[in-house]
Amino acid sequence: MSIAPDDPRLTAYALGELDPEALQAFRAELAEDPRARAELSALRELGARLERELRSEPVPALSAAQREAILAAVRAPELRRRAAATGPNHGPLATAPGASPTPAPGSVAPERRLIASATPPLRWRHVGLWMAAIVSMLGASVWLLNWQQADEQPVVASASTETSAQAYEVTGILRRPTPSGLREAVEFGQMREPDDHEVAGAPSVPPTPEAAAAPVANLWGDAIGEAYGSGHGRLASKPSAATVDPRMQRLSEKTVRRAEAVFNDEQGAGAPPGQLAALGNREAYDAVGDNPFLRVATEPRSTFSIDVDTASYALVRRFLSSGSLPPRGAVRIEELLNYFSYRYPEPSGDEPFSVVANLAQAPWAPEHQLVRIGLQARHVAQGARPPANLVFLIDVSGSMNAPNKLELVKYGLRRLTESLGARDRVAIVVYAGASGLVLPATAGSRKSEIQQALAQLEAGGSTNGGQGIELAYSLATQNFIRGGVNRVLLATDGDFNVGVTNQSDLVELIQRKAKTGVFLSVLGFGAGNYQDSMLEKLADKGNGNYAYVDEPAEAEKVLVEQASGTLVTVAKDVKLQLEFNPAEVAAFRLLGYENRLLQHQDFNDDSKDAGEVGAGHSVTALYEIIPVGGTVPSADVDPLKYQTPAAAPASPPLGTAQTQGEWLNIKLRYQPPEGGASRLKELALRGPVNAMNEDFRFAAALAEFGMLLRGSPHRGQASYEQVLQLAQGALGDGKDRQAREQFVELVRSARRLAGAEGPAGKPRPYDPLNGSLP
Amino acid sequence: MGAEPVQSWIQSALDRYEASLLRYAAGVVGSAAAPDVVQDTFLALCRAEPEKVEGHLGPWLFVVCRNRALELLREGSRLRPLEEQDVTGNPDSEPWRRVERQQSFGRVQHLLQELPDRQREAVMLKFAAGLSYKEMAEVMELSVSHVGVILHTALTRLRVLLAEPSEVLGVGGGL
Repeated sequence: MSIAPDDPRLTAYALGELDPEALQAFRAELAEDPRARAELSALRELGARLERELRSEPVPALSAAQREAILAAVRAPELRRRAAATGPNHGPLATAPGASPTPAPGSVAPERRLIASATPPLRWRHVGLWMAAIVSMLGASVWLLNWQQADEQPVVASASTETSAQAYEVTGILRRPTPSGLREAVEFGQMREPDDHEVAGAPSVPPTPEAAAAPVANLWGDAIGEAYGSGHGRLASKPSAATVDPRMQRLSEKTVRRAEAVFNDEQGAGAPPGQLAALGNREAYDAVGDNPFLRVATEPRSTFSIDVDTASYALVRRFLSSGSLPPRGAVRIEELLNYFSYRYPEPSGDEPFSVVANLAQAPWAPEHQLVRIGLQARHVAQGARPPANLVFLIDVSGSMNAPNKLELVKYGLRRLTESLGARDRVAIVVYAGASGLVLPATAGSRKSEIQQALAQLEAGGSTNGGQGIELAYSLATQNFIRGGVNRVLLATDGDFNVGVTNQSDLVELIQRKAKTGVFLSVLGFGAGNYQDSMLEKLADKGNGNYAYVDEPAEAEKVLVEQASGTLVTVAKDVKLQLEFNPAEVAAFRLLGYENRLLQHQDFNDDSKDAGEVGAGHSVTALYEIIPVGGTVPSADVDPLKYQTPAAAPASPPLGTAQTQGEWLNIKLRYQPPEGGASRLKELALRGPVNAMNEDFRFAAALAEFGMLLRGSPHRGQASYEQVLQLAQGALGDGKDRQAREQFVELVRSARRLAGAEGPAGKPRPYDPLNGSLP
Repeated sequence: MGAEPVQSWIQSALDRYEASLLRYAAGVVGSAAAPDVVQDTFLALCRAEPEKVEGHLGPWLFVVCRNRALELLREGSRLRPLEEQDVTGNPDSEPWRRVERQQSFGRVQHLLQELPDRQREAVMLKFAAGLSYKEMAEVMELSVSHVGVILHTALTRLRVLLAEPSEVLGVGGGL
């Protein structure tokens, strides 16, 4: 008697799954059936192949944020029990199905509802804490502090200091090997027969009495610690706003929506959904308030550092195209302005750049004027670029394992490599749990070697950025090319979580390294745990530039089209100082550059670091000015007790025939890229208020857009309609026309999203991310 | 139970089952939605009482994962806007990326698509996730002998498919 080919015992036997009773009989049959034995070995082979191939198949990993979400949720059951015990109207806890090994399909949902409904009555002051608790349960990790509100500050701030140490501890626990007893318990469970239901009743770990005894107040405090610490404490030392990428954080978003419902019930006022959704993620954005109007009578000067970063524009684009408004902190007006290039005159002779200034009516405040200052750095042709010594410093930690991160990094650097030649050198350093040299300095002409090294990179492990930075800089110093481009290109999502993780330590390290004459480019990638504030700081302190790469086209722009601007620095420590003429100007306000302001005395101090300008970069700054006779909004400070502030002087003190009609004087200081004494340029703006030209209109549209997204208190009559009108009439026919058209689309998306929250252009209701009340 | 032991317990469950659950979920809802399903699965584990799960953690996770994935499929219409977003906002959808991804698909993975749902599920649970027949029976809500029949049928079919030259990829060869 032979075994039929469709006898399932064949497979069962091949896989060692045949019942012990059936085993004997089957073996006997098999002994007499060579064909069945052949079948059997084919099945075994197929099984082994399936196991091998299916287990090596790459899977879409959980994002770091999702893993954190899960681990942060571990304490949720405790919170839930407590909430249910104290809350009046809650039914029995929904738990995973009792004796039955099969949970009901809907078991996830009712539990979440329970969390949402288990709200103890809360007064306003507790709402923040309550939300932190929700957030920690379901995985949000960045908590932001309401620091503008004096009332709230002490409560939250103390919680954060207490728990920052704890945050480290929590991480430590996670990374420590599993206690062997527990590991065994899990393993043991696996080895047992699954229908062994008596196991179900046996508690595996005894409950700890202190957990049950913890007072409610502490419970909320702990929750904040977790929320704040797990996502934030390791990296940023300052409270930040955060936001969610709906593609990656669908779950957290849902949760937060429920939190919003609670929040709204408590407040009786609508909180902006997009902004609140922010809590469900580990992204960090520093929110910086808008520059206020300054009275020229008391504060005639304005000093700031140039900034050529463009990251904010790409970040804003990412948020809008994924259907949410960006968090305020991610919107930096200067970076929106500088994302685009303008037709400023090319510098003459050996000058590294030209400076122009214009004056026009401010579109959002017709009684105010808008000053545009434009800098154009000289272009360097691709062939005329000095030889480059580049070190790619690539974050290959687990969090980079996403198509829009490491894969995009590889793509961008591959494209950059294509433009390199025999005089150039490329080295590749990776960092994760340990840092390593992937490719020693290699001539740019050996493209296949470089590209092969890039192709082999894989993500995995945690991030020790500090070590990698050390190694990259030492390579760049070893291969230093005098008069050449010496640059470290750091590609990361900024999620440094091992080693030098203290933000200020890292910044200090970069600051020290910048003195070696090696410049830094920071290329930010990814969503979900993106650390914007951190990366901006690194670029700022490391003589660098900073771009956010959200798609292959952006990689092309930064690394191919603008390669010379990204790589070749034409001037460093570029500072601007404006002096306003009190005869013409009553008050002024710098749009953007909030985190680039300098002390006035730093202008002439060459040891004070400032921004770098790359070849072909154009830099734009806008000032809104209130002419003499206009109403100056009252300052945020209390009036002086002992003196009356000087009103606009009846006659300008130094008004001479020469300075008559001048609005302001611009002084610009910069150092040559190799360092040395600074040079000074000076320019006075005089003359009538003109109509805006195309580029000026486009810049005004960008600034107005930024003010709307930031909910700026100075937005006046700004509206998305006006932004559209300005931008559509200023598309030009230059090479960035396509990008300008894309901007128009972004404005439309923003208008739609803002429309869903409230009438466009109207002040937003309470914004919990920034803590300012309307 | 204190937070610390629970956390290590969850952590070890994650280490052990994350990849196989993701593969399994990807087979049901596609690779884009799989991480969400698996996140939900582990969140459910966080809320479950360990005593109830102990002893059959593997099948428990796969059951929850399966239910969650099927729930998601039923929510199909509500999911669509998200997918549209993926198409517009995700570099994943860029042609260069798509090609790379297609190339990375192994043959066996591809041939699995030819199998009926139940057979494919059985293959994934057995070989990708490493469950026993009994565990598979729990997850699939079938008897152990039924599982045996399904898996045997699946392997027999795969052998036939592997022996045929593949039309799609143009690669031939058997075992």
